[in-house]
Amino acid sequence: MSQPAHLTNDPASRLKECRAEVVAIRTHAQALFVGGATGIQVAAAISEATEEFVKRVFQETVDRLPDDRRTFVAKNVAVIAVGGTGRGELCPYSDVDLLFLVRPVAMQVAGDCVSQAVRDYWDAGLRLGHAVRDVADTLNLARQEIDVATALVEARLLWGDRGLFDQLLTEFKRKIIRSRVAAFIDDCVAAREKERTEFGSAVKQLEPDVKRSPGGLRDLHLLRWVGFARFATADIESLRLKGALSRDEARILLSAYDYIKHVRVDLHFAAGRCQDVLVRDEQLRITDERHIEGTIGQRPVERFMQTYFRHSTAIAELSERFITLHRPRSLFASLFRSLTTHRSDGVYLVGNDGIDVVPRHRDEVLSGLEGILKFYRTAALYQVAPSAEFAERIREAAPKLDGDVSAEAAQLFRDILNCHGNLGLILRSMFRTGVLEIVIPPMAHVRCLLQFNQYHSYTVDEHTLRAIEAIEGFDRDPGLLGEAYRAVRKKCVLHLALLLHDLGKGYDEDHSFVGRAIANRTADRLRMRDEDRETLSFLVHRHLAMAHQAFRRDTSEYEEILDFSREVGSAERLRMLFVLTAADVMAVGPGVWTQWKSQLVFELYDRTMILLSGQDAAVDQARRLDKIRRKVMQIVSEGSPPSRETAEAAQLRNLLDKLPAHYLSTTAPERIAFDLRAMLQYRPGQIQVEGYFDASTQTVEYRIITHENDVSGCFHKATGVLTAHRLEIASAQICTTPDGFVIDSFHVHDGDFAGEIPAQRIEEVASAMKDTLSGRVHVEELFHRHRRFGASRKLQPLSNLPASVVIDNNSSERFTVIDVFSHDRPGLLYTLSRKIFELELSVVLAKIATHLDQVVDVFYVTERAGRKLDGPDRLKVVQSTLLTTLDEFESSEWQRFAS
Amino acid sequence: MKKIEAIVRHFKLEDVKNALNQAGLQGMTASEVRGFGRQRGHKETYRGAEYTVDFLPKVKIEVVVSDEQLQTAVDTIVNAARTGKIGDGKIFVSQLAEVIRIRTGETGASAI
Repeated sequence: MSQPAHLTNDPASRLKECRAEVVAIRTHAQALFVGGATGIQVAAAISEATEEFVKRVFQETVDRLPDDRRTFVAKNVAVIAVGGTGRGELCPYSDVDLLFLVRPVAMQVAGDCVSQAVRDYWDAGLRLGHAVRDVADTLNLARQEIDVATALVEARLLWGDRGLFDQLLTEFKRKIIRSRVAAFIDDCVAAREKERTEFGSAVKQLEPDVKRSPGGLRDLHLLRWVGFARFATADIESLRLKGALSRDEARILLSAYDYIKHVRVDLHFAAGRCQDVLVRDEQLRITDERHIEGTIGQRPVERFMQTYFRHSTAIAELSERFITLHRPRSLFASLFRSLTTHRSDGVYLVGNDGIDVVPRHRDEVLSGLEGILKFYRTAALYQVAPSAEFAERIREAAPKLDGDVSAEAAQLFRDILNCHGNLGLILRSMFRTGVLEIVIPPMAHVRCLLQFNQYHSYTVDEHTLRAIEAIEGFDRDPGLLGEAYRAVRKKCVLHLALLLHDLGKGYDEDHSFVGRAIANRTADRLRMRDEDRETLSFLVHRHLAMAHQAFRRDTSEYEEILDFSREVGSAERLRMLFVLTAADVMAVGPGVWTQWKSQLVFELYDRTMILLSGQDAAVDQARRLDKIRRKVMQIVSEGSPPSRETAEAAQLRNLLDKLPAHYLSTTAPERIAFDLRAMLQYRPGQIQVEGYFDASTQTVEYRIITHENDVSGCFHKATGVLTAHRLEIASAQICTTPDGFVIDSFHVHDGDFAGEIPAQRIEEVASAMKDTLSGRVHVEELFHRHRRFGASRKLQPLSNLPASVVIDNNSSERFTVIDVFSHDRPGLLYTLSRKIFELELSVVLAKIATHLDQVVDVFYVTERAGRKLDGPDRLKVVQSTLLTTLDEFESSEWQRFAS
Repeated sequence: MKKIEAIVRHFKLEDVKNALNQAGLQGMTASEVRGFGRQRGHKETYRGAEYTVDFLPKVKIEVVVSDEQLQTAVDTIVNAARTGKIGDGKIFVSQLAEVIRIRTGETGASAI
């Protein structure tokens, strides 16, 4: 860089010279940069040259004054570098922040001088941020505006009267900092919080602002300010010497600072202006220029950003820890803390703002993975954050732990995953301290892993933790997501699936396949039960299935829903997949979970739920049921005096209240009223059977109302009667009230007749039904009686999907749910329901749906004694028996029913 | 020049995109939209549960073409998006005053 002689007085040529000099400063810096200088070196060079320029221009402005004024100004003015300029770390196009400190007597004279100089700076091409104030004004402002105060932390005298400068500094330290350390730090942190939010609240957002985003340079500044307030120095090295930072921390901070500074300088030079956002195009350019190479499964740019995020995460975490440790607590807060803190197990100190370990137990807790996990489990149970101090101790201890997960540790980790409320926070802490990587080693691979596409806003690790936070937030959701989340019984499996769902990223192979392998290994490591392992594997492998189905397929097509529900298998798994899908999409970035997307996913969830559980998932069910009950009461009480409820009406209401929800929501109110009266008039031994022809669907509905004392195996006998009469059962619903009333309804096609079915035929079926149910006739006899002779040809099924039986013991409090997917043939339902009867199960609710030749039958069953199926062995027996029954039926048994 | 705005079923987006690409038309904008047409208030009964349909999720595709390409583009979209059932959507065509490519400043048909 050339050192020009004194500037001329001619305004035009003076301007030209100034401009040339500022350009020269930048050109020189760029040469250094290209030559391989570090970010700190380049910034220092720019600062030094800029300061020289600032000083000289001001000196020359003063020199042009008459002699007496010249001395007057020199004695009463101080030109002070503040903010980034004071730190001596200017980037090529950073603002130059100056404070012209003037004694009140010199305001007039100095004012002229300053405006002349400021004009020159601007004309030269510097971006200036300046103020002209006296000491009192400056301090007043610093008290009100945190920006002014923090800028003064970095103040350095460039030109003028040292006495004046020292006066400001002394008073600043005394009045603004020392007398109100806590307020100063609080204000700094609050201002930074606000800025963080404005520039994206995550460290690992994919287009970060290198200065203002979380983990940006500003976090380091914040650390310096807090350091200044607590230790009277803002310098990292001095803070280390004073013991406020460890040697490691200082080293990590400086290296991260240098790295990010370098990127910022690069951005400025490339843009030719102040440009602090690391946009995708710039990421690509820098990767290219630095000749960064990719690996299998990871693009070069993703590797570059991974390094960047490692550094910014380090800054964010160190600064956060530093502030938490060194933020003074007020006397009141300490008192409050000691009053609200209690000891748990004699080992932990649980307070409102965090959990710590009693000092004498610390080494013991840190000596093994189990101790650390117990600490985290306590934090999860009490829903408090682990204290920063102890988390730091864990981080130091983690590398010394051996990599095995004992049975106890596995149990503890599963316990943690079963919690919700602050699970995201706990997992975040476990991730930072390195404990999560010990339990789930593949977590290490996704640390700071970038996904270079237009959809994701965060790195894989950040996305995953955000997804966990989103899903536990559903607990407070009043809508469908909340209902589903609260109904999920095995939160541990769900949360683990979400934690693992993207761990397969960054490899060559499809991430859902890699993820499945990781899920299986993790399930083994955590010693999960087979059934949980299978669910986990499914959820991780198919975590995109519901989004794909909802966004890319026609959710109103029955076949589509059928295939989907078949894959999902059970209501519990559907609930899990549903909330997992929503949390996953939400954690992609702000505003990604749109109403558009939620509507499609909700619809798919609702429709699939009806298939899998026989009930719809809509949230306002309670209100809807109330409405139905009111309507029914209105119908039954028609004609009776409205003023008082008769005894009969009270009895009816009592019966009505006991009717199950699925029956109420799928039966017309008029019909419910009719059934109620039938129940009211019931006498022991009575079996009522009615048949109605419905012209709109061309089906006959047969309804049976009786009591379980009178008939055993009502459901399978009824299906038998219908099948024997060659009726095809399109849908069936059975309902048993707590009092033992049975209301079954069957919609059937009668292939023997075209058009309206004659009353005579309906009567024939109904009376056969009564005979069979009352035990006068055996079902098998009917088959013989109605058997038709002729060729019974085996029809090839339309689809070649194998039959499957899924038993879900989690979805319902009181019942075990069996979903059967199969090909429909006459006699199938009878065979199945008889087998269920023989297995000594009671069918409480059944939903039968046939579409083309595919059926999904849902049975809600209990043991005869009325409780759910217990034990995995019993479940296995039921499942395998039903599968064998289906196989036998498919291979030969069907011929018995073929007509 | 013409601007084509097609409101289609959400799951038809891929089909329409591929068909337009095959027909040699490149470049389009797609957005998630919600709306209703004649099927407003249409109630769907689905296994006993009633759905009151108000705003339905659809996808809006915008394509700008020269006058000569218009017919091909419209035909392509119609063929790809049709299911024959209610709710297949609509296509709006409007006259376009000007197109400017921001990077080069080109205007008119060469900027499409």
